[in-house]
Order: sequence, then C-alpha cells, then structure tokens
Amino acid sequence: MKKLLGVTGCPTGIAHTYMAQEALEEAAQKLGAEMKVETNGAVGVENALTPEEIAECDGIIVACDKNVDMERFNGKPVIETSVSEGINKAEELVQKVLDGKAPVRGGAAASASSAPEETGGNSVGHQIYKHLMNGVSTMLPFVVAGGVLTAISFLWGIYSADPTNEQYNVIAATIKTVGGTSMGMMVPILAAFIAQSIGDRPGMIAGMVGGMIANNTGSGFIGAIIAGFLAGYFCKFVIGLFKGLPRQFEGLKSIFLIPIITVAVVGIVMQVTAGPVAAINKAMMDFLSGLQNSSPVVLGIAVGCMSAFDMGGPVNKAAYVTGTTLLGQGNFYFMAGVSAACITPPLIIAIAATIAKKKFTRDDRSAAYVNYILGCTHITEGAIPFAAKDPIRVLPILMVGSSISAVLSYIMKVQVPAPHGGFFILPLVKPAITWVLCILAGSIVGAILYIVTSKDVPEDQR
Amino acid sequence: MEIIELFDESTITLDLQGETKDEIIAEMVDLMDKGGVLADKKEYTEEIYAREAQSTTGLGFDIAIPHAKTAAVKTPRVAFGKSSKGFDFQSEDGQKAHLIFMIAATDTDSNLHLQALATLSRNLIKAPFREKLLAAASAAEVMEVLKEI
Repeated sequence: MKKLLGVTGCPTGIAHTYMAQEALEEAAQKLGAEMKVETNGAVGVENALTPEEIAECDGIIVACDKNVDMERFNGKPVIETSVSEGINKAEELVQKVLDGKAPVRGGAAASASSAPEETGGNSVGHQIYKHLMNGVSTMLPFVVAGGVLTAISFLWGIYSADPTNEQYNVIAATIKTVGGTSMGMMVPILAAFIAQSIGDRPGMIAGMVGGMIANNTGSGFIGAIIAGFLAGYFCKFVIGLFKGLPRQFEGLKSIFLIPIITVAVVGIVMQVTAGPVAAINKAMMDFLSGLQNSSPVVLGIAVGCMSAFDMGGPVNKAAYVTGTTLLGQGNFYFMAGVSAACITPPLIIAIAATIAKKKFTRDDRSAAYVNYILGCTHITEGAIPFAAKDPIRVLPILMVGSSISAVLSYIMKVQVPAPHGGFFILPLVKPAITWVLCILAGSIVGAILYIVTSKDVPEDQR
Repeated sequence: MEIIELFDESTITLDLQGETKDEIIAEMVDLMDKGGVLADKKEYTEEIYAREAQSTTGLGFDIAIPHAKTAAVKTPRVAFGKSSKGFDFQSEDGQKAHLIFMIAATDTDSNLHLQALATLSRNLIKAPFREKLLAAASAAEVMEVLKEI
C-alpha cells in the first residue's frame, strides 16, 4: 500500500485546516492508499509528521494557505496547493501523487531540524535531540548575523571598536556593537527555544528568563541547556496542574498564574545553581585552554572531534564558545583551530561531491555544492544532512578531517582574531594562506575517506 | 467539549432572506449578536471580512463557513443558517450555497472549542451529514443532527 503524507493549514486555523485533512484522508482511503495528515491549526501543530515518515512516504500533499516548514520535504515528490483545493480536489491530488506526477522538491536533501536521527521514532533520545535542535536552529541565525557583522568590523582593524586605540573607527564600532548584541542573544535564545519546543509559549517565556540568567551568571551554554529543559518540562507540568480550573480562569491562567509561577521557579533555580554550573563551564574551558599549552596535537584532536561531532550542536558550541571567550582574553590561537574544525565538515562533503560524482545522487550533489558556500562562511550545519543519513560512517570521517585541520592550525601557530565569518575574515588571519592550506588538507583527507567508504549510487539517480 | 455545546437554538435560522454575501453576513452577525455572543459587533464583522478577504470561505458543495477568532467574541459559538433559495458566497465551485456555519471563536488560549470546531469541520466534508442538515425542518431538528456527531 502506498503511503502518503499531507499538511493542511489556513490563516485562522479553525475550519478549513480540518476539512482539508478529512477530505484528503477520505480520498486516500477511497483510492487505496494510507495517508497521515498534519494539521497546522489554531491549536498548534497536531499529528506532526516525523522525519521517518517523511523519509518513507511516497509523496506529500501540502494544502496550506499559511507558511509551513517545507525544507523538510526536500527530495520528495510534493504537491503544493491551497487549502481549498485540498478540500475540493482531494481525490485529484491524491491520484496525482499515486500516479507519480508530483514534482520532486529540490534543495538540500534534508534540513537540520528534520534530519532523521538514528535513534528514530519517538524515543526519549529523539525527543531531547528535537528540543535541542529547535533551540540550536533558532539560535544559529543570531550567531551568523552577529559573527559576520563582528568579523566585518575587524576589517577596520582588530581594535577598531576601542575608542582609546588609534585604529578606532566609528562605523566599525557601531557594526561591532550590533554584531555583539546579536551574538549576546545566543544563550537566552537557545534556552528559550529549547523550552518552547517542549512547553510552547509559556515554556519560551520561562526559558528566556532562565537563559538570560545563565548568560549573566556565566553558566553559559550548559546553563542555557539546563534552563531550556527545566523551563519546558516545568511549564508542561504546571499547565497540567491547572487543567482542572474552570474555563473562566483561562485568561488569568495564561497571562498571570503560569508565567509568574514558572518564571519564579526557573529563575530562582537558575540563580541558585549558577555558581556550580559556571564552575563546570569554566573547568571545561580551562581544560581546553590548558591543553593548548601542553600539546597542540591533543588540543587539535579534542577541538576537531568536538566541532564535527554534532555540527553546531552543544558539543560543537562548547568548543566554539571557549574559542570566543579566549578571543576576548586576547588569545587568537585557540580560535584558529576551532574555526578550521568548523569549516572543514561542509568542505569535506563539497569536495567529495566534486571529485566523485558517482557517489552522490543528483539532488545530493547539488546540495553538496552549496556546502562550499556554507563551509567558507563557517556554517558547520551544512554537513548535517549527509552525516544524518549514515552517522556511524560519516561522523568519524568528519571528525578526522576536522581534527587534521585543527591540529595543523595549532602546529602552524595560526592566529584568527574573529569569532565567526569563515573565509570572510581571511584578511585578518595571520598567516592566511597557511590557514587555508591547513583547512584544505583536513578537508581533502576527509573527502578521500568519504569517497573510499561510500558506495556508488545507481546510474539513473546520478 | 461536545460540539453541541457550541450551538444554541437562538442562533439557528432556517429562513435566511439574503442573496448576496454581504446580506447573508449581516443577517448572520445580527443573529449572533441577538444571541448575546458578541462583545463588539463591529469588530467581529470586520474580522469576518478580513478573513474573507484572504480567500472566500464559500467552500462549494453547498457550504459557507465564515469565521473569526477574536476578543470581540464573549463565548465560543457557531451560528447555523439555511436558505432554501440559496445565496451567493463567491464559492469555489461557482454554485450557490445553502448552508452557512458562522463561527465565533474566543481569543483565549482555550483549545477546547477549537478542537470541537475541528471535529465539526471534519464532519462537514461528509455528504450524509450535509444532507441531514439540508433536510432538517426546525432548529430542534438541526440540534438533533449535530448531537449525532
């Protein structure tokens, strides 16, 4: 039996959404197919499609008059239409997909947020991963905007934002302030959107406050992750407690009781635990920066493995934040390895696709080429779809490649003074050519390993 | 929440007079207002038109479902209207509609009535359900049909 998926939604989300759902499900049943429909209504998303279902399905009908995440359907046959077509022409739409007439959606094979996880299903591990990625993917644009703007400000000189320095330039200082503010949102946003993924809007509120406290008290990323999960699950619990309240208290509950209780509890817990967590955070950073003095090779391997391990996730960010903190202390060496290790994974994929076309399907290949741009701009996340398909094989390769890049950067004593920006900041890197060569070395080794270990794809899919 | 709780005999009419979209909306909003559902009649009407401006809620197969989720609504309610001669609601299929469900949803976080509305909407797709509504001869009979969902 063919399996179809659907997504319905309308601006108000109280009627059409569900009529289209019913119409599509009925049509599918009539035509002998299985169909699950995700509804994006006023109540929120119900019946959400899982990455596994998307991977397995034979086609997707999106009958929506509002924006939904389409990236997750990349590489699958997709019909996009209005919600009223979904209601009126359900049978036609289902038939079209069953006949294989739906166009395949282009773009990268899968996006970060929907990458299939090896743990699969709705296991606890997968849930936690999903919440974490909701935070990470929301945080990322803040980091990219902030990092690139900060990097641009360095074009005027590394001390251009310091009024007491002769390099001082008012434009650079302004850009750096804007960039710094955006970067500063990183920790609160991470906490807020982990919590939002678990406990919706009430969770987001408590999570953001908790994250802000983590930011101010120095418990950093670990604190943000704790605050996010604590706020999310605690809000869920409190909402559950209030289920029994009569409906008249609805307004009171959502704008008064729940925010006060959850913000108070999460905030106080974060404030009280700030010391110990900040100590753990500091210990980890000290450990990493201590390694720098002892052995560049060990440090390079540690940083390389951390950066490639979850590509933008918390482990990667732990290395990254250590780098940015040390930058603040005037240590430009550490960041060179971190940046190199973060740039390498997407380049491995891109180079592999360029050299060995037969190892990639047509769609994957075009997605892989985009990784040149992502790699050059220090966006490690670009490699996620490829790693997610076969993590056991691909992750170690990426870790090896990243480690080589990082180790070489440390051995060559490269200095990178900007926290983000990839090859944008090359004019500031000393020595720039050496650094690029270090990264290319790691990327090429990784690409060769990738090519050697992957199978050819069938002719007709190339 | 049961679907039937969203309806009330006071906001059911089997004798719609209007023939155009504007006339029908005015008639239904008046009915809603008389039923004591609205806190702000003008704002509710504006919201209804704002939704229609995005795309008509005349779905075809005899049905129109104008709706608004706004603070101008005091209690969640669905008003039901039937017209024997039919009315123009700019329906998707270009035909006249005979049945109208006008939905007033409150602007709070309560999901209960939204879920009930979702269930109602799913049933509207089903032809037998619509036929029973078309056949109902009194407000009480309409309520009976709705109870069966």
